[in-house]
Amino acid sequence: MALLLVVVQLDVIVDWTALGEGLRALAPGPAAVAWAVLACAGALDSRRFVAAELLGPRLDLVRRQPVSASAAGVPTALLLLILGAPVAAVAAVWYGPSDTIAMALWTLLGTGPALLLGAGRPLAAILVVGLAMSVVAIGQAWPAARLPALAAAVVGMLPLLGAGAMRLAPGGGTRAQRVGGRSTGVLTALVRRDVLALVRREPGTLAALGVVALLVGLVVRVARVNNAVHGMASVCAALLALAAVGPFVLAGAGAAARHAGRRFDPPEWPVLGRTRALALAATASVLLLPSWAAAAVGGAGALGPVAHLRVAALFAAMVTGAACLVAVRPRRPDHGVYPWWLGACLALTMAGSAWGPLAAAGLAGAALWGARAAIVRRRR
Amino acid sequence: MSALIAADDLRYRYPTGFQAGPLTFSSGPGVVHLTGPNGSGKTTLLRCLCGALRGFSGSVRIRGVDPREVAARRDVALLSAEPELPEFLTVDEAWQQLAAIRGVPDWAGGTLRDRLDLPPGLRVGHASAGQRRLIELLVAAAGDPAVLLLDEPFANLDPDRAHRVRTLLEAWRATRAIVITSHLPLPLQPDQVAVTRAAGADPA
Repeated sequence: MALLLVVVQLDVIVDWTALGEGLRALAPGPAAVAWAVLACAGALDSRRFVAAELLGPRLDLVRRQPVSASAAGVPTALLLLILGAPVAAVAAVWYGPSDTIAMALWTLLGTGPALLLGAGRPLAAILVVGLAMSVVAIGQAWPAARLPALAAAVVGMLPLLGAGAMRLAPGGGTRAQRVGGRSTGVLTALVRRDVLALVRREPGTLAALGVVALLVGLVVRVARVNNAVHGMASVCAALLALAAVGPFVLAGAGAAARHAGRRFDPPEWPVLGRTRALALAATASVLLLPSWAAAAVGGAGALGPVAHLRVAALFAAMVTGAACLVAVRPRRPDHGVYPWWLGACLALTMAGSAWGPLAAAGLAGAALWGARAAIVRRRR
Repeated sequence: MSALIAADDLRYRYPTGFQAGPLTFSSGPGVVHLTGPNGSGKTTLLRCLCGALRGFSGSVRIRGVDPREVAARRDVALLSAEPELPEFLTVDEAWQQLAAIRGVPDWAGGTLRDRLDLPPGLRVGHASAGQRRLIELLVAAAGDPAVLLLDEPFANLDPDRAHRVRTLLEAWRATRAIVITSHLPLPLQPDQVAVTRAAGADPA
């Protein structure tokens, strides 16, 4: 559900056709950087699936051989090319079936960084992306040098891919994951518990948040239609409407903590203070996300990327502020302080200069730090 | 082989002046019976052993690491005497959450749940006192921690369920260190007995 809302949000913010055309029109250097960013984002998104499900079990045979990382890189790269065939097919649609170099590059970019990130080697992943992007840049500047550049890049990637394959634990996943302690797994478990508490114990609060989200979308839409407003007026409508949801978000996050009882944060659990603080902020985000998406849909066309960044800064400050207040007093978060916090964040995000939203983002960071400090203090 | 759990001159002093301990013992796999009269600080010491109370003096080591560090707390689980699980969770959700928190999300808790005769979809809030005790035990064991600290694990259990728990603990004692507090004799033979005494005013 949350993912769907993010997709809606992104779809509203980003004009994909224009983005594609813009990327094609870029000079070789910026194009390479843009593709690298996209490849890294995709790899980050799919790293766990690629490491645990797709590659981990299939690389068991390679891992058992007494060979060096470079030698293991050859079968690993072959496996990546085979498993990445669907990615190559997409490249064929994009560039035409005759462009095998682009297909090979897409496949390596789609699977290599994901394998390395899944194996816990982010620097190697960045290096692989860098090598691939060098091929793209060289290919755009000197088309004849594409093939030699690709060959050189692949030779350079082999030891990295081999080392990554060797680091995957038997049966999939990294060794660190097998030993335990993935902070993302802990985070998911905590947020899931908090959301379950709300779904089962506070359906009224959730329903209210749904209705409020509709109202937020409506308010932003009305502001846009009535005024034919562009620029700051629409942005202010979105920011004000979002801030009005704040008390509901704090009430929801507090209710989740209250229903967890002593299990809100037992000091004997192996959970870092910062992980618990992040989980609180994530729970608050789940509550605020529908309103954010509604504001984005309501303001579609009138809110530009900068406006969305302002809204995102307010969103971050709101959820971390709520997390901090719940961390300080889980059973009874201070509803008297929160409006002041919201007011300060609103004032900053509505400021004309770019420094305001940046300061709001800074406040969000400070609130997260405060939440962590409160949790650590209570455990002592 | 190093001890799974070791305590050396462990003491905890409340602001009221009450002091639990001292306690000194060391154990590999097996059962330790932590005993003492009512109010002697057994539960307090148990909470120190798992890192829930951190202002203790003396030393505690879980596989050689202080339980105040996160790495050690992955290897130790506490079964409290009082029910603590949120009532809105089902049995499976409760143990799955703890298994994920201990970094073993694919822990096969279903087998243990069946051995304890617990329905997977039973809400904690709808369980009887005895069932709730078993759910708390299942959740404590989630993720296979090497050290189990059990505070009165046989309380509220009928003879059949007490027998199930006893059988389970007998199976676990070969691979885990199990510290059980009780002021009554245990229904299973302990490998060690540690006795606590207290000094000063009552913690309450």
